[in-house]
Amino acid sequence: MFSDEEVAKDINQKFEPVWVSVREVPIVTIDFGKGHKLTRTLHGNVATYVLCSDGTIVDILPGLYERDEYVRQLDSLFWVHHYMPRTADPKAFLADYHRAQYQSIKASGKAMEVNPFADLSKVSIEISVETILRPPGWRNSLGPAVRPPVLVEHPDFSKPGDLAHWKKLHEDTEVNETQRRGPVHEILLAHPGAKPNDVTKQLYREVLHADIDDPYLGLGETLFKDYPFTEDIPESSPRARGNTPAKLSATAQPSKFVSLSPKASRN
Amino acid sequence: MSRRSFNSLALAAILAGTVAGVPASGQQDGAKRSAEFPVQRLMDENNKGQPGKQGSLFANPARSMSMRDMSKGRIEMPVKSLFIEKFKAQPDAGQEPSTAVRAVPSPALLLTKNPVPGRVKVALPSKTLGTSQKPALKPQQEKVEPGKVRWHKAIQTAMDASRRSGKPVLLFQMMGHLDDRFC
Repeated sequence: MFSDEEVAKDINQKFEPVWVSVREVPIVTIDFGKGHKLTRTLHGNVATYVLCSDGTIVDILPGLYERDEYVRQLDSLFWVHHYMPRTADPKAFLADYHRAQYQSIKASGKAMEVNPFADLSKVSIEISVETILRPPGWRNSLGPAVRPPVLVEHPDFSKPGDLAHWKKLHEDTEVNETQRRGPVHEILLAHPGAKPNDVTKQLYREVLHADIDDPYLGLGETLFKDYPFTEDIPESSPRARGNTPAKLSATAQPSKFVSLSPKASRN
Repeated sequence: MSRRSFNSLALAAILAGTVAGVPASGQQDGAKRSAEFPVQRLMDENNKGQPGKQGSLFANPARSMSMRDMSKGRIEMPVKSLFIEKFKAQPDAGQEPSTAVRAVPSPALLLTKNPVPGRVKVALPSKTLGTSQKPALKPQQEKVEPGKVRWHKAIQTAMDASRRSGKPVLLFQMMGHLDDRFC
């Protein structure tokens, strides 16, 4: 995604980007012998936050998105951030925004669209949720009809363009927008003025279904339930402790976030 | 006497005093020589019985080195030997690794005298310390470029930049590391 020239250019122009690691990603290696090894990541997940300069969360995009939709969503959040200081009460505006989006997703399965350049109109308008949000599909109705992309089951990963038409990525994007985005708005509505550290664990546990406090990310029961060799089961697993995953997450020690240190930087 | 003549005489007196071993006025040369004397005596003792080599530091370097180096060896060898013992060849498959406390060998056992008298050779099995012998504590991930986005180093840096530019912060949160091959 971030290797795509257009995506990178768009992000660099509109945002101050930074990445952080919330924990190590599980890596599975299968050794087939004679030097034939297969290495894959397992159960990794991501979230994109858009923040104000004081760290207040504007909105969160949960999970991986298809390129065009990702750029579109980021553009919408850029405009929400742009409008915030132009309102009488930015906190109330943000709460209204999350409430409206939550209700829209609950009712129609889709979020409303943000109207760009609303404050640059010749007719001066008061910036509010009512004046900046438009019904789902509003942008597409303005321009010429866009033909839906032809999706492929097995893209050529060496070509970045092919990845944009990967069927699985489109399906994941759909799930993010229809099933995960609603709970995100609900969390942010319940935590007005929240910073990333206030909601990250809840987001990963309840929305992305990966408890980052659990050393086995909630997979412990599945991994060890029917495993016969008890001596191989680590002591930290739910079975060895005699805990259910629910008990485990309630008693687990809070983990520290891994420090971030990207190699590339603009500074 | 003119001021210039006085200065010339004073300079001559200082030089004469230094050469003759007489402390000149204002110069604590005695203290300097007393500090240096033991070193000189050590060199002379090393070369005792070897006519014509008195006072020369390099008269018998082998003997000098062997005698002086022992103290250094006594300090460093136990640490080196611990390191070597720890990463010695792995135990055979199926054999339980020994948990007993290893005795630290005497430094004298690790020092073997070279045929050249006085030269000390340290018996370090350096080839056994190759990377293949080191225990892999954590698999090292291959590092890759984290895309073409110009990432800030930390959230605080990004927020500071946001304050200046007016742009929002984009925080990409993930499991693993964006610059790891498997992330």
